[in-house]
Amino acid sequence: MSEILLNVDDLSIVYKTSAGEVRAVNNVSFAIEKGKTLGLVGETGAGKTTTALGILRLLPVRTAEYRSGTIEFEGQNLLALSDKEMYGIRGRKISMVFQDPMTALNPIMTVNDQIAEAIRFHSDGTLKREEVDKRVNDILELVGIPASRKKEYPHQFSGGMKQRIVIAIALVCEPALLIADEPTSALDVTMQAQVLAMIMELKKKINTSMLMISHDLGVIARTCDDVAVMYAGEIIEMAPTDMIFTGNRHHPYTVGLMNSLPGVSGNAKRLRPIEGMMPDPTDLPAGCKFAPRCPFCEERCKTELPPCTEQNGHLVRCHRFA
Amino acid sequence: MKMNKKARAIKKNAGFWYRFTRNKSAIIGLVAVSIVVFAAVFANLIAPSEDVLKQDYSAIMQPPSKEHLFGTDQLGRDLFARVIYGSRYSLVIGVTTSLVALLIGGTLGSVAGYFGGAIDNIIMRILDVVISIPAVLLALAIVSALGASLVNLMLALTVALVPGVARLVRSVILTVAEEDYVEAAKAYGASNFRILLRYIVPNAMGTIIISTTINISYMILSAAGLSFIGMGIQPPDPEWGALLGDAKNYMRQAPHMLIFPGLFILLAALGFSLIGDGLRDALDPRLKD
Repeated sequence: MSEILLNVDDLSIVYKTSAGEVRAVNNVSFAIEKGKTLGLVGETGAGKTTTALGILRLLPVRTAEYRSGTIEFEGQNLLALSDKEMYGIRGRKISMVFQDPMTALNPIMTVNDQIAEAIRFHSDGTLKREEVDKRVNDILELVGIPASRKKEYPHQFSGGMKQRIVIAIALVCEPALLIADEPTSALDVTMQAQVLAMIMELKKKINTSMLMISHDLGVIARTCDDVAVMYAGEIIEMAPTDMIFTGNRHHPYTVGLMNSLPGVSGNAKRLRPIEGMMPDPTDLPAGCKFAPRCPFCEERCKTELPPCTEQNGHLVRCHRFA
Repeated sequence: MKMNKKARAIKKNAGFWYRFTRNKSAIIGLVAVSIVVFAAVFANLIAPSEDVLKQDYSAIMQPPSKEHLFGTDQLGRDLFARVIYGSRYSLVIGVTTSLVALLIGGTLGSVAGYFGGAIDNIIMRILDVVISIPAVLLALAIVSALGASLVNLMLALTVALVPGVARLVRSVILTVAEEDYVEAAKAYGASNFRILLRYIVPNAMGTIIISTTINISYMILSAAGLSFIGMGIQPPDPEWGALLGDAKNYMRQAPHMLIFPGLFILLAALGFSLIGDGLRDALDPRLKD
């Protein structure tokens, strides 16, 4: 067992809105080892992005509230740090790649300036100009953008190239943890493959750990060591990647997710979408959050929160396996 | 199609300039403002400065002639020199008040918009009190309390303008602060101050420049208005509004005394306002081809 880099324990986050309390993340626990990648899968609104922003302490100050839990990163609890100390964590130790490269770059700053900024945030003004220049050129080369184009503005690049630039900014300080929030969802398939391959290669090169957020099981299967499936703010299943895609001891929701995937093999089956919608996060069911949509729902599922059970490192939160 | 770097840069800048110059009214505005700016900068080359105050009782209220292009006033002063030198007052007042108000209002507005919460509430409620008094009335009150002079006039106009600017800037900041690249900058470790200065304010600049241009025209008009009723620049200084104030007593005998200063006020105010409109059309991304 190698060293644990990030340990999220019992994290709960609520948003206070006029419609009531939105329980976005509920008692989530997971850990990422050094150099490993954890995938976070789930539908829109399952709390994936809230978890990610929660780790970086970037949630809207006025509405979001940490209800419980700790986020331990390199041995210190991020939730106990001051705002100023967080500046030193963000970008330098933990970086984030955003979903939409079209809007994640400042439209009126050149690519060079934006990457250089990220370097300067964390060099305390000690780096010389030539050094900054060199690092910008190096990282651009790594992400496959010709250095001759660095004086151009974001709108002069294509979507795939913009995402490469976003990744360059995120990785230029060689963070220990990279949070990738649906990094390829806004790209077309050919670009997705290229960008994913590039992320994985860079990750290996600078030996960073990664939290890969996606609703795309294909992306997760290709990139992650472990997978956590999120539903209504809870992690309902967590296991090494190959176990999630094989075997039969699965949460009904995970099974539903797999059945919603169109296959291209010869014996194509009719798609079976999961019936119904995710529960309203202001009014979550008392028992299992998935109970209203679950084909195996029993009486106790509606009233009793299922416990997490483990078998060979495969966690499932379901009464069927309790 | 591939273009080299230079061609790209030219095309981008040309886009803005092309859209701006294609707009006829913007060009008219540009020409009008150029005339006024030229007059203000080169006033001492266009007309001798002693003509502004030199009285000639043998030639009072003369209509325009070769000697006196705009005629003379009730004391025989050359109106051409007075109007030309008057452009200095109007430009200085218009530009200074708008910029100072932008500096103060802009700072208050961006701080309120970006940080929100209690700071936002405190700043905006105080400004609401100021804004609840009509701007002209407020300026009038300040000038009558402090006495009529150039500095007091500019002070009064600035105070009256600040709340409007602050509100506008705040609303623009609120929109820009929602953008993903601001969130992204936070994730890279940028401090609040840096984000405000490098990301939010520059991206809000377009709207702010437009509104400042239009404010200049509004300030020129207000200054002329206050001087007209004797609450601004005092005769014998040749401010356009003051010139009109003088002229109104003689409008039957010497209408040219009204027409020429009035024409220049129109030129300056309309000019800045047309440029502002032109900028808005040229900068609006939704109108881009």
